[in-house]
Amino acid sequence: MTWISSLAAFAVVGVLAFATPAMAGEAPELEAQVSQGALPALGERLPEPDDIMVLDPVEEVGVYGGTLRVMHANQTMDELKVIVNDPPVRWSRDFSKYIPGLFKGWSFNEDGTEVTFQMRRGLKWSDGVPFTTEDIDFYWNDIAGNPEFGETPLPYWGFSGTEFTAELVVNDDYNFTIKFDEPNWNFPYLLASGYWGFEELMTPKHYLSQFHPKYNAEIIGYDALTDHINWWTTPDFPTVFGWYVTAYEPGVRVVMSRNPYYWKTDTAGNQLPYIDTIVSWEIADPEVQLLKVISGEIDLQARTMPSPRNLPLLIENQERGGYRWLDGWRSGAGGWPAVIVNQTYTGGDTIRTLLQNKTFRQALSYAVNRDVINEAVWFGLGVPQQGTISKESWHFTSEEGQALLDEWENAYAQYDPDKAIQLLDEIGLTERNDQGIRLDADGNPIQLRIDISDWGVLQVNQETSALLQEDWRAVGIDLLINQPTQAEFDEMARNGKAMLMTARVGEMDLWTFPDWVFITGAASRAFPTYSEWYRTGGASGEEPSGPATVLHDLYVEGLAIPSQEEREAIIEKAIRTHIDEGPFFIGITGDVPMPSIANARLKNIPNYAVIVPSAVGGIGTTDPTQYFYAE
Amino acid sequence: MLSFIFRRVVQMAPLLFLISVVSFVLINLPPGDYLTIKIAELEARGDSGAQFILGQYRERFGLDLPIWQQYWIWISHFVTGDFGRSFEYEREVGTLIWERMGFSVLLSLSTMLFAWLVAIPAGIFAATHQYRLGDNLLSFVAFLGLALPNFLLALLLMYLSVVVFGWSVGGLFSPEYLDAAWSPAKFVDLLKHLWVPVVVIGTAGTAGLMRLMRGNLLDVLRQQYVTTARAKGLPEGKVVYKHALRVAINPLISVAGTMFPAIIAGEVITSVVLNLPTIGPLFLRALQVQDMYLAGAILMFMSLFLMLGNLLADIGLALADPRIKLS
Repeated sequence: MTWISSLAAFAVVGVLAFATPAMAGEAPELEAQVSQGALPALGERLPEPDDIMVLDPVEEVGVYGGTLRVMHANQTMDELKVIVNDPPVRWSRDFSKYIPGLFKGWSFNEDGTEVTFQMRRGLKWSDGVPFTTEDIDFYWNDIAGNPEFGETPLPYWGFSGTEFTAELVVNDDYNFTIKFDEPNWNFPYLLASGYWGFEELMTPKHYLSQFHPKYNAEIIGYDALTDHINWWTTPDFPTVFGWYVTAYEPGVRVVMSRNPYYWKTDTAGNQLPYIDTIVSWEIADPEVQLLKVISGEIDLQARTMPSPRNLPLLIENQERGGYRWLDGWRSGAGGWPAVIVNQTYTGGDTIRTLLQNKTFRQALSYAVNRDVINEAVWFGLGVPQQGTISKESWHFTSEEGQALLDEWENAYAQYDPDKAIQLLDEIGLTERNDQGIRLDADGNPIQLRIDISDWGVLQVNQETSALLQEDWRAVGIDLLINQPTQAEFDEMARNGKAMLMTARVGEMDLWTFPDWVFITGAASRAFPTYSEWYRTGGASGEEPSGPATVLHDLYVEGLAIPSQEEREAIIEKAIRTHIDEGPFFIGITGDVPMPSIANARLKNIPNYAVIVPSAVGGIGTTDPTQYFYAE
Repeated sequence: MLSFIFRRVVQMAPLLFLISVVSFVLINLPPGDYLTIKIAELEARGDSGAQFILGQYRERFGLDLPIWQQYWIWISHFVTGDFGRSFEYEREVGTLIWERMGFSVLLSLSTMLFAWLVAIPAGIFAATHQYRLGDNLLSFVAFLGLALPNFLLALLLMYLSVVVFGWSVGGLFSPEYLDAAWSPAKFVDLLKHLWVPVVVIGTAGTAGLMRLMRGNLLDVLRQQYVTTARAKGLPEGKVVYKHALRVAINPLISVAGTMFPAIIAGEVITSVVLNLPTIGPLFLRALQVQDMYLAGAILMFMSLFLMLGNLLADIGLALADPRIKLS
């Protein structure tokens, strides 16, 4: 071979190697199906060119293939849903803003009472049928809006008080409008919430109508529809996700295969997802989940096994299990644990008055030795701090935001038992019994009760409570630790019967998830009977007073402001109220690292994610459709 | 015989009715209902709309009705074979139970077989070697088996399975065999997974059975007809196996009747730990989230199995022991 021909050969190989990904454009298995005529060509499967969503790969353009093995704890499969989740509106990969997702865009009318969505033209369900406003209409009128079919409730955002007032107007195949009776500038972002913002709206008409008595005369009643309404337990339910369910074995696993009509490509024009299959195993026991991970049987996990206390064990077994710890994935916990102080306690007026006294709560906060709890409960992995929302939240990206966060994190968070004693003396709790416990206004020793549940991690709550008991007794406040059953706990929390509650606190967007800071109609743990009042329009619950009314009015005021930037002033006022009138939830530690792991060969995983807060949908925001296995 | 069976079956009806009332009341006794828990779960994941849908769901599930009405709706459908729908799984209770029945029966039968195959010879050996080293050793192991919590044993064996043998843990098959058609290799794979639960669940039962066998046999061996048999010069083996054992084994047949439901109840924690697709974990979850039709149906089936088991045991006893008359 002469040098010319070898150079030519080299050049040809080089060109081929360079050109292959762009020319292939789709998974080999799909390519084979196309050549057999079993599947339309790629161009016909993708949406119209302008409406294709192009993802910038995190590291590089990937290769097709492989199976992603994950796990879920029970048949609700939340852990799987956060991975495949593909909402209409979504968070950007850096968790800093909202961007279009399944829907191409949205616009408001002048006063914000109407929101019009543009769907992607030519986007298809995983079985090839176009996804149009007909499906939205089907959801609105035949699924959620059909009182005879009670399985799918009306969407909560359509309610005004207790009346459902939202209206759907279909403009054409790809445009629809939702009308509200009040300005709703925040509405599109609600659809980005976790995975459930869209879960119930994913109703393929062509598929579900075969089980619907209105469309199929042979069907009587709604049992058949109910049997097929959940995409995650129904094989061949068409989705618009990167994968759709092809097999479901109850109690064992669910298998999802690549959606051949998926509407995203990488920057080289290759159709996503790269990974062929997802298998999610149902594993209920936390110890077994851990065993599966360290024996290398799981490729990705961030939410199934939430106890960061396993972190040392996981790190130790990285090599053996062939995985790596995703150390940049934050928990987003501004309080883990935090102790919610019920401001509308209904179990006794004397205690309630104390709990509502901010000096009393501040004294409790000063009395907590957070460093000791951090060492004992988290092996020092957490950060001692006052309870806040997620420090990663977009409300804190500006300089002023950072300063505000800093102030909030440090408010009453120093360990200062002398100060606590001084404050408690100042509010008149000077009488003590022979055990040194202070007496309340009725002359009874003050015994607070902490109600713990597995919110966060049960063991964390138990150990924290035991240490709080010591800290608070040292300043003359007794603490009773109570561990009710889950149902009991929920009842108590809802009716205002719980006194103190351990919790995990964290949220990214206070407009879509206001309840840690604002008071709305949604069940608030710190103001349960007040939130009931707002929810029922005053029909039940308790008429709010004090800082709660401020926190409610601020939210209403904020929602009426069209511009996201201008709304930040409201956020500042609300957090300022928490600093001045708080704490309403006493934070112990926060920012605990998460035991998130991924197969060592998995590429394109960003080294930053926020896992716990519901708003961002966790893993889904990191675009698992562009993950791939390196050779 | 037939009239005996007929009478027993007829007697079951009022008993089942009572059981249905008691289990329904018990399931409803804890505060709150399925929806309380469902809403709490929705809220825990941050679904702030949960409160708004509460009323819609409560009506749909009939949870707004008084309890006696709920009971009537449930039981009147139950007798026709319509066991209702599971709240959580949103599917027919009958289908859910049926899907898992096969593995539950497989597990129970294997466990019973294991328990009997180990317990009877061990019990005989212990009885015929009373207070000697072998007896003490077997009794020690038996008590250890009784005392060790199942979940602990399960975790230990799983750890061994992973670390020593490198086998995939949990479930009944390795991932690569789940989809495969039945083959000798798949059967071996099943055995690799099955031995852990069988040993774990079986151990506690084996210990009890062994002690029962030992005690009975010791009792019988002291009776006069055994002494007579020995005095006649019968070889010891014949005395033990032909004369003493046949009498001593009767109580074990009675116990067998209660074993099947006991295994379903006993496998709950083990199956959760070992991730087995059996009825146990379904039952536990149903009780935890107050999925009342599902929990109620499983309880009813377990009661029914207990009664049928007892009936079968009685028939078995009559066949094994000519002294017993069914009347």
